[in-house]
Amino acid sequence: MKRVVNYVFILIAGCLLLASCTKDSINPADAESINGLGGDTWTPGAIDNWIKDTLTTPYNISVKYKWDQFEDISDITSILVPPKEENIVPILSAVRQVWINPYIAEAGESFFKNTTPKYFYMIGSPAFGPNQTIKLGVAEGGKKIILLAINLTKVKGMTGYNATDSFWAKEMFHTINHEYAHILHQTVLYPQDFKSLNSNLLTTNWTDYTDEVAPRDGFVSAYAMNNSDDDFVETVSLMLINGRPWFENLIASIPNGVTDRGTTKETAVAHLRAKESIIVNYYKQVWNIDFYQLQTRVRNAVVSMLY
Amino acid sequence: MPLFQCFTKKSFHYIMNAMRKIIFYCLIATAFFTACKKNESHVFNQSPDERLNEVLAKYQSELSGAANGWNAVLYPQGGGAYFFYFKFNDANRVQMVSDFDSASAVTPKESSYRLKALQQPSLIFDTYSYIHVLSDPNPAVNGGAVGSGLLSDFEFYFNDSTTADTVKLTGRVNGSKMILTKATAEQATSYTSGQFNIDLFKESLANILQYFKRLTIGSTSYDINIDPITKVVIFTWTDAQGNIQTLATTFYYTLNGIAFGKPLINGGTVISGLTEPVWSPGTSTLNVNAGGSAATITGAAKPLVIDTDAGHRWWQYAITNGNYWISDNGFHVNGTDDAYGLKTLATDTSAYYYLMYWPQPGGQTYDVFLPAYLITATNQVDIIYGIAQRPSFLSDGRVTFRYVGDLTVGPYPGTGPAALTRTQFLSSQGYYFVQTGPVNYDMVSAADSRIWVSWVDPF
Repeated sequence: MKRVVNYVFILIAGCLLLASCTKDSINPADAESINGLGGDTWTPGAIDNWIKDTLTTPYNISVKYKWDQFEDISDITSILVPPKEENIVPILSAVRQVWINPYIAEAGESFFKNTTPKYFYMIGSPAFGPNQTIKLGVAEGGKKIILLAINLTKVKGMTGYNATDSFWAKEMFHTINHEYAHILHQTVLYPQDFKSLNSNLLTTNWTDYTDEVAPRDGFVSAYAMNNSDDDFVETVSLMLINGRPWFENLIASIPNGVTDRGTTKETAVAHLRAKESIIVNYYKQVWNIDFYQLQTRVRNAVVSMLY
Repeated sequence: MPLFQCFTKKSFHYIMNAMRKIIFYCLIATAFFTACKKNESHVFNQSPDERLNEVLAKYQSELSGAANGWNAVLYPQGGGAYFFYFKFNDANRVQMVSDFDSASAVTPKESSYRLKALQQPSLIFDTYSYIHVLSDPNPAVNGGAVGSGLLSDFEFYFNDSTTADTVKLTGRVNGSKMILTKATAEQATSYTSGQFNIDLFKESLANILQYFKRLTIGSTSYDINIDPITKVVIFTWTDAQGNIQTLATTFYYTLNGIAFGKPLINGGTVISGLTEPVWSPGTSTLNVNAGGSAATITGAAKPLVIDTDAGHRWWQYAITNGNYWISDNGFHVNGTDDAYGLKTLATDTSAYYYLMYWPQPGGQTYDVFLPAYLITATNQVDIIYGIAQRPSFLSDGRVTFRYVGDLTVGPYPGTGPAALTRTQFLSSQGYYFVQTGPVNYDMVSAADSRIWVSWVDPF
């Protein structure tokens, strides 16, 4: 009897299993009705097509310029606004000429495609922080670069441009080259020598110094004092966008005397020269790029965009 | 004897077996009767995604389906009211004009928008246009606070009270409100062809040089104070029962005048805006249409209803908070800001910064009045000369200032902007005070209401 009951039980359970769930069949096509699955969509316009043809198809770089409240904007908490449409294509063209084209010309397309950040997000306003600070660019782990202040940024050829407007565009070129150099050294680290040059002068209180006094301690800018990585990428970026004569002039204009932190003029000059030579060797040995030729190309592009 | 000791081991076993069977059959019965029920009744007969898509499609067709577009009034959280005209198409593009300034009123601008399911179905203006001007954190754009603008919004969720002809939206970040109503074909033509002239009303009103303005409709008169910067209008009047009434409301520009965020209601009179302004130079009268009735706006020497305590509040506020009052422009005379030219004052190392009224500095028995300078090299305030004086608060609301003496490092100038400012300040008739904001007071000459100075607390 017990056995019969067991069989009956198994039979019934089997029926239940087979029969009870026949109602719902999963149709993959239904997933398309889930709103927002696969990201936001809109009717593509001229700007979307330009981005697709110029950046996405050739280099696998996507650019978002439409506002998205949920875009990760790192630690920015201030109010922002989206960018003006008329600024998008001129600014991205300038980015291509100042950053993409020189690297491809010197190192080839496959190098660039392997190392480029894949995602740009554009914001109209700068991010206003406390103590009258403003943020112009942010990068997220080598994948994404956030470009701020697009509405204030102007390059040659845009309505009403004059050379005094160059500040924002130059800061943007600076940001992109800065972040891209981070990707390069995160892929293959620069020599240890660089870190030991003036590690005792690195400080998170770099905001206490100005870009004017930083060279006297052997730094190319105040932000370069933040840590060795930032020192490396600031030096690369500023050398690229400002050109070699600017760097020579920076070194030549360091005054005599000793800084508050005990750096003599000779030490400062020696440190900047050592950084230059480590960078040039790093670019040659790791990436087979002639840094000075790259510098000439970038600087020429900056000049043609701004002056 | 406790009950459970009645059972023998055998009877216990028997009972347990019987119970097992009962439970087993119950389970089978339950399974048969419930497991395969084909007609489950859902609260909704579609999935959440289907319903969401339906709602978004409905809003989309409502917005882009309005052939003549939409009239919209945006009430930013930061105050004021702003008019927009929107024309949405079904390809994520929107055209707009706004009454933010004269250029944005006559130059239609195209940008993009999209509808998105956030926590609620939402409308996002996702590239920059006139609506973002109010939100812009850059103070150079809208005169708002650094980093927050005018506390407006450009992402909105649809309120449940949205109907076929009226779309009600709430800002997602600051909670601003926006109400869209369908436009007519004539309105659409006017807004898209550069005929939205917001200067019409502004310039008509600017013909009246007096600070105090009086709106007269039939036999009833109202004090009216229109501030085009904050987009606020204040009415003060005495009602039929003799009570003093005040209405402060936002206003925005319309095709032929201004409209109020809240209507003015006085007995049976309801006025929601002032339209068709016509200036009559002969009588110095601005004729307007107020809710269908002919009305006039004229200048006045003093208000109908005087805030007799305002002067003392102004003075006491600075004492209580240990602050002083400043004015960038100094005296406004006969339609001209900074009429005495304070902004031309300069020394070799410093330049005029602001006009300052400092009650009882450091516990003194006198108040200080002076034009302060700023040393450009060090960004420090420089005080070179000033006067000591005492205010008197009169029962009719006027405040007069009595000269006590000069306070000088250098001598107080006998001629020029500083001297003219001092002479006017010490005018024996004194001043009426009008509070225009939490930390804003206007001080209007009792002798001539075409002369005034606006004080603000700089802290």
